Amino acid sequence: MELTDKLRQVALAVVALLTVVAVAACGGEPASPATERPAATAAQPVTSSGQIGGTQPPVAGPAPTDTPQPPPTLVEPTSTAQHLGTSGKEEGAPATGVSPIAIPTENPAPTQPSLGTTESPATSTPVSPSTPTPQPAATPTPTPQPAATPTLEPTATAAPEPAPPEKPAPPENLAHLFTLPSALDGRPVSLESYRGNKNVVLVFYRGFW
Amino acid sequence: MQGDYETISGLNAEILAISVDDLSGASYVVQNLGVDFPILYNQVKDVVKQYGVYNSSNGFAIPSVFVIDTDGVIRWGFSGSTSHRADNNDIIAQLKELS
Repeated sequence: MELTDKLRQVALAVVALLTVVAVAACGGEPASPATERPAATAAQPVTSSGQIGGTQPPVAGPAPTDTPQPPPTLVEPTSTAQHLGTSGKEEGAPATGVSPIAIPTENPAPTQPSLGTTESPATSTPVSPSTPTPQPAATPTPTPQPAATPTLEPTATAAPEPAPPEKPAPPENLAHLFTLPSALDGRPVSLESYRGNKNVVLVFYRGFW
Repeated sequence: MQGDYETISGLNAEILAISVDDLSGASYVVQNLGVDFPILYNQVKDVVKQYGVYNSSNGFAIPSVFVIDTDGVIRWGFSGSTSHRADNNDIIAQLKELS
């Protein structure tokens, strides 16, 4: 309600100003005292509503073209400016607040891990106690595991079996050599003495035949 | 065996008989049967065991015959019993293959 009253007062003031301007434009340079009086009367409501448009006191003095334009622009802009101002402050503040917050939060976050990563490799190699060190340490441990694979090679090296040459050494079906005494005269008879000379018919017998 | 000794000798072969009997028994065979080939005495039975013809149940040798070539390789073998002995013709046939 107050706004509407104020608006009405402003509108009246504007109308009064327009009338003063119109009179000034039609009447010539020096305004008659009669014309100045209404202007003064018109100025009173302006001053009464000067709280909003109080910044407009130069309206009476300066050129009339400048004064009429500002009031309408001031009336509508003030209402929109309030909404925009509040909304702009609310939206702008959080927007700007979020963006700078997000940026610094993102910046410190990567910087910390980046520092951690940069420090971890540097410290990892020379220093083992750091926590990231075990991870790279685990990586090298698989490397020794492949080293364990070479341990399998010894088994493969054990594979070269010298035993096979030993197996073919004893030929099968080779007659066992022996030397036994003859029952006739007791002289020793050797199977080997017939090798390369005569075939042998070896007879095992029992008793009389 | 003695009856075919000349044939066997003619095939470049010598008969070696091994007995696990005591020495008196082996000598009896030689003297009474007139055997021309050597009869060897193996009372300790080690050679019999080496050829796998030792009868542990009675302590004697299983009647067996092995044909060994000049390289010392056993080319033929027969293992029977006192009632089933090797046929001389089979032995001669093996020797003919070697000659």
